[in-house]
Amino acid sequence: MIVVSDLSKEFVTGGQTLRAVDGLSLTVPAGEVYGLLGPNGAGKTTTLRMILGLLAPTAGDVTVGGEKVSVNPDAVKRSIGLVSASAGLYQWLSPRETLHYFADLYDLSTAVKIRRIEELTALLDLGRFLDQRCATLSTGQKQRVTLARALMHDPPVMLLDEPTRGLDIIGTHVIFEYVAQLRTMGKAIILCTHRLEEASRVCDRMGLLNRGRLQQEGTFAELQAATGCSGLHDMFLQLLGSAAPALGRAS
Amino acid sequence: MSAAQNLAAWGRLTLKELRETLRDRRTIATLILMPILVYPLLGMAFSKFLFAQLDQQSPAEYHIALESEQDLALFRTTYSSGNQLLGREIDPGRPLPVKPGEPPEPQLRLIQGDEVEDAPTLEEMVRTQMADLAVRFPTGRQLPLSVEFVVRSGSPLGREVREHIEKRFRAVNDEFVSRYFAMQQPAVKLPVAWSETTVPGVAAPSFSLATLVPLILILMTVTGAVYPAIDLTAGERERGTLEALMAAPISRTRVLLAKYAAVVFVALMTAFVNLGAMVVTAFSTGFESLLFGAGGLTPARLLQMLGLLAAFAAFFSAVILALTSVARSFKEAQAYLIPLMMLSIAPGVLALLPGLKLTLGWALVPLANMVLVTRDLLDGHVSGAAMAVALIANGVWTAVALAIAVRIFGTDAVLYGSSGSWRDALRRPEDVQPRLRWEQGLTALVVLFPAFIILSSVPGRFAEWSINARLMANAVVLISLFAVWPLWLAAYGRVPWVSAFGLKPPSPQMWTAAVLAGFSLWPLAYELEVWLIPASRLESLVELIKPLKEELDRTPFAVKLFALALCPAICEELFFRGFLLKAFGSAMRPGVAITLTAALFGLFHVLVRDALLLERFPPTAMLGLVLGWLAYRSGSLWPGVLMHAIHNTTVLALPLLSPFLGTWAQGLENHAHLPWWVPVGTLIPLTIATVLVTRAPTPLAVSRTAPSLSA
Repeated sequence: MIVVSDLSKEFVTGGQTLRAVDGLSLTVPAGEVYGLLGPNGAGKTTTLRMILGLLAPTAGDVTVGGEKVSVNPDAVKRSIGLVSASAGLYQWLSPRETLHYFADLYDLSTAVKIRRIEELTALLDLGRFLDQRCATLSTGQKQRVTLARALMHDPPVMLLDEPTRGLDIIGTHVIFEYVAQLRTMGKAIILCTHRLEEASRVCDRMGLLNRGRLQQEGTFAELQAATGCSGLHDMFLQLLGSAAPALGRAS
Repeated sequence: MSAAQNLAAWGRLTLKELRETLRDRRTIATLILMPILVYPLLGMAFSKFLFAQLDQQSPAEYHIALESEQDLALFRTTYSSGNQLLGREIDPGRPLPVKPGEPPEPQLRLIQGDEVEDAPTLEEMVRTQMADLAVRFPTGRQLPLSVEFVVRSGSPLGREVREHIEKRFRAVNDEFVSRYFAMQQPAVKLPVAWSETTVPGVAAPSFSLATLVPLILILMTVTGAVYPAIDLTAGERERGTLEALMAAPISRTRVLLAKYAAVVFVALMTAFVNLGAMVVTAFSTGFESLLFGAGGLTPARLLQMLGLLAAFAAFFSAVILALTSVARSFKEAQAYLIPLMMLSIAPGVLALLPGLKLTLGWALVPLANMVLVTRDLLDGHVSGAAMAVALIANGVWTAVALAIAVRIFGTDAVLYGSSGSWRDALRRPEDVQPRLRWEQGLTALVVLFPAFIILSSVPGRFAEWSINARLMANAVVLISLFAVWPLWLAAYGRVPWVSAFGLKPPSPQMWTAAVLAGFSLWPLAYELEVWLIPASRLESLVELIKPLKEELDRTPFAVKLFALALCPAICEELFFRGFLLKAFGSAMRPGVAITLTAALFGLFHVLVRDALLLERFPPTAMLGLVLGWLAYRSGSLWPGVLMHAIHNTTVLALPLLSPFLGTWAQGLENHAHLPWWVPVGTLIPLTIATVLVTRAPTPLAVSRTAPSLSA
């Protein structure tokens, strides 16, 4: 479903060139949750943005559902739903109005629009605050609206960038439950998160990314075997190498 | 998707933008509450101020013009009758004793028109302020007396004099009516009936509030558009909704057009509410003719004004959206809009300048065109053709601004660009850089532009300096700003001069093309300038440059050659076709970069000491385009330097060569057209030059990955 081939991205700031993603390749089939894990600045978000066509890669390409993002970005966008930690909501609109607006952006017909809002309201339990102004919602409620917004056009691919940032334990648990449900719906999912425990439970395969390069990839068991570490936390520390003591102190 | 479905989808997107904007209390406050509160307050304050001024400034004399001795006598009789009936002094020529609690009675000075030199008409006398008001008796002594007042448009004093006289005439009528009814006769014909004619003022016209209306409406429309424009563009980025929006498979044009429609709607509503509040205030305070010119505000004029406001709102909303689309936050957007607000006041102030007419040139200038059309509309003498040109130009500028906004909105530079400081952008790199960046070009311009305005006018201030000294001082300014400054910037940015300025040698055919173009472009540039300058402007231009020309005639040719030909050729090419073209070329397509640098080249030539010579823009921009194309095709600065130097030298040498060139060259001093065969003849070498440049291989087009203007 998602094929990332030798993807690279360079940024030029203040005359200096920074390689944010360096020759990344990965594949995510339908019905799989792929955990893209790594420290801050590893290149996870940049990768997701390139998959979605929001950032042009310096080299390499991405294919989603058989469509190349460099050739047909609109077709790729149509098959992807994005949930980002930094994504906001329109404060003066209600969740219902927000969902209507995004349905219009994806050219959904009125009948499909109404049906999808009903389905998502039931799936994500939006009923109690569907007509409330978004500004008045709690963080957890907002995140569920963001998820509904991304699912409005029923995309076969979901990109989740830190979907649990700022949520409490219950909120986090709820979101991961939804992620598990999305897998059962046959969606290909890339999940970027720092919640390593939940990631190890929900992700079918994981890729450990550092300084733009994919260091390790596989199922949790494969990663354990390859790194000799029992948990993701230890794998992380090993991955970071020299930065590990500092990270250990911080944790 | 059908057109109807497209339109419906666009309507739904617009509706969302409007919902989001209009639900915000801040928008409503700007849109409705502010004008409703501000105008009555302004009206009251102004009313108090005006009456206080009138009380202080009421003249001891009213100057009233009449056509003949008979009219003067008739007026004197009728006026005295009215005065007598009001219990006042009979003779209008004598001052009256002041009654306690009443303002002093003015003295009338009656001017007999046929005794004045050249016997001007009554309208002429009022227009030129010889009289505050004129009185005409179209039917002579025949009863009922027909009286026509001639008043200068927008003159409070004229109005005051009219009211003063009208009061006396009304007293005559009232007396007649009361006597008539006492006699109980059937048919009533009042002895005096009056009407009014207004004439526009010419010489030293009195200040009219009508000139302020366009400025007020501009400011109010801008105020209405600013907040929604920021909120719907920079606000999207700040709230984090822009990424989700750009992740949808919808064209940026559709999204931006929906936002544009919402901003125009709010701007229009603000303008309409403002106009409404202004009209109501004007009528309630009695200032309608002061504010809206002769005849007040008729429904037709109101409709015209609303149409103009719509055109203005359409333009301004597009400009604001283009600016706010670049911004990544509210704060940044506000920083961009403040200079725009300041700039928008300047054309508004233009309307206050007496004698400034809406010419074809002004009709093409954005913003100023709408301001001048509104002013002329209120004055009641707008030209239909000028208004049509202004509206078309306004439409074109709106489309340009919208196209820019669509190009910028939601690009990854805006979406994810760092909001780092200029210090970061201008930090000196550690390694050698292959090419200049656009930020360096912008920095060079930002410093150079004000420095050039200030420094280039300094030598002209020293009148005691010889012309040679002033020319040399100018050359020093040119070298410092256009050569030393970009050379330093390139060195600071660790960009080798060879690549920063394109200093590598060109192919031989480029040298040949430069020589041919250098000798043959001047007739075209000259004809373009002559064609663009109207005869009236030509006279003033000749007057303006006459002293300088006389001084230059006495200057040795070698000095002129250095200061006016070689030095500008080298320095300007280093800056415009070297540094700036390379810097801009790193971020934009070659055609755009060449056009932009040519426009800037033209703009710098418009600034001449204390004057703005706008007519220099088209020919110099045209030369800039040719020089830019030559630099791009050759990949080298040198052919441009040679062409520029030959062009300047030819123009300098023409007066010296005129005795040998025949009669046609004599007309150059007076800006007369050249014989047709001169510009047509130059087309031959120009065509050869074009073929040479086009056929030469482009060294820069070899690599498709490297920016094509960066060698």
